[in-house]
Amino acid sequence: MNDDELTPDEKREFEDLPRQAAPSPFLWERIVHALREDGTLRSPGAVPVRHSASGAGARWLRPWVVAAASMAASVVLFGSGALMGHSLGARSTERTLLAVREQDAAHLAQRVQEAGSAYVSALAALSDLRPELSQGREVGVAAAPARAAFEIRQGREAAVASLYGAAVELSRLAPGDPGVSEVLRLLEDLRFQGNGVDAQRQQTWN
Amino acid sequence: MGFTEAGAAGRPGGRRAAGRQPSNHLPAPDHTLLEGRGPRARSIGDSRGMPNAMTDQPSDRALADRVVSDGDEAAFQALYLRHTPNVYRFALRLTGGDVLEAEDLMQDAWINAAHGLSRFEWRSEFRTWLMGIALNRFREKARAGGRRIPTVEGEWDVPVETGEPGERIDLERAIALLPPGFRAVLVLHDVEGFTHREIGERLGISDGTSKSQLHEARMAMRRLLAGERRTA
Repeated sequence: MNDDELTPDEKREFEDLPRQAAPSPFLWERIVHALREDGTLRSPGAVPVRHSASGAGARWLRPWVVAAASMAASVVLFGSGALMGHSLGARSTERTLLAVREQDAAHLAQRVQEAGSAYVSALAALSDLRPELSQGREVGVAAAPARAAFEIRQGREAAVASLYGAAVELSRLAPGDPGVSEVLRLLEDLRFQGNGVDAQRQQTWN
Repeated sequence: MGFTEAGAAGRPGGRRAAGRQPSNHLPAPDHTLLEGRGPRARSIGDSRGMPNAMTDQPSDRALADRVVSDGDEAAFQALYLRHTPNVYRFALRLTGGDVLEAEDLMQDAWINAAHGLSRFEWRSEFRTWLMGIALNRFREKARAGGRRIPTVEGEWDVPVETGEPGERIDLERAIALLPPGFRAVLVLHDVEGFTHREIGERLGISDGTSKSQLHEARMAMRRLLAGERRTA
């Protein structure tokens, strides 16, 4: 027998060997699970996430992944929409409030200006009246000189009290302003000098 | 070449796969009808891409194209059913009948094949390519496990395990008892029909080395079949 050649019996034995065998069913499960996991295989309902023109290298997402991704995208869209709406709403409200405040400030400043003008005008008129009284001439139809002098004094006291109140508010508006602080100190001195202002009136204006 | 001839005539699994409609979860293939002995027979269709007019089965290439382009699981299952029985038997022989190791080889081979399908140029049959992947994986595992597959003449002179002294065994058992290197060359040549050149290419050895290793393997096999205990 030539050792390098198979005998006819040996050849027959080799030919009679089984050509096929059945692996366990789990082998298929393992393979297909791995290929689904890495996106090589898709289940029906999966959508492509990468697909070249030649078709090579296509990768697939399984339906539950697509569903989860869709839900996540919906949540993100809803959240971002709500956030944007809230932001826009907040910005709008903020602008409105700012506008109202700006309008209020302008209005109040205008009122201050108007009140100041009225205050100064009234004081000016009162001042104009004083020389006439001092000269003994009558003012008005029935006003007696003594009463007129009293009212002028009241007007003066009111003017000082108003000026003091205005100085207090100015000091709040501009804390640390040395000019305002000085005016406030002078007015306080002026008010507590007596100067014809009785205790009751001090109480009233304070 | 034996590889192209391998496979039993008529493949219940292949026919089943071709008629199966895609479903969300394809059931595990049933290979129970594929066991059995039989002569080498031609496989269904031409696995290099030509459809089989007799059975109207889609070609391997058509199925592979569907896998690559669409991730078609049904097409992949058809390929799996068509080729796994033969390649699994080959893997079983390579591993000396170790079922777990053979299934690991198959798993790695199919996963690698699926990943490499788009690069496969169809110059060989799909089954040959798949067997080559399994063989490479077997060599890698043998190397990692310290079981070097001899590639140099003279390294075959290693102990061959047998059962009881004097026990006569059949051919399948004798092949399983050969050292891994013997087994690889013997299975590739005498069972699967590879030429020495092809074996040399796949194992990284020369044609002459393949021939000499086959000679040693056959001698060892004959001793085993004769009930001799080889202790070299």
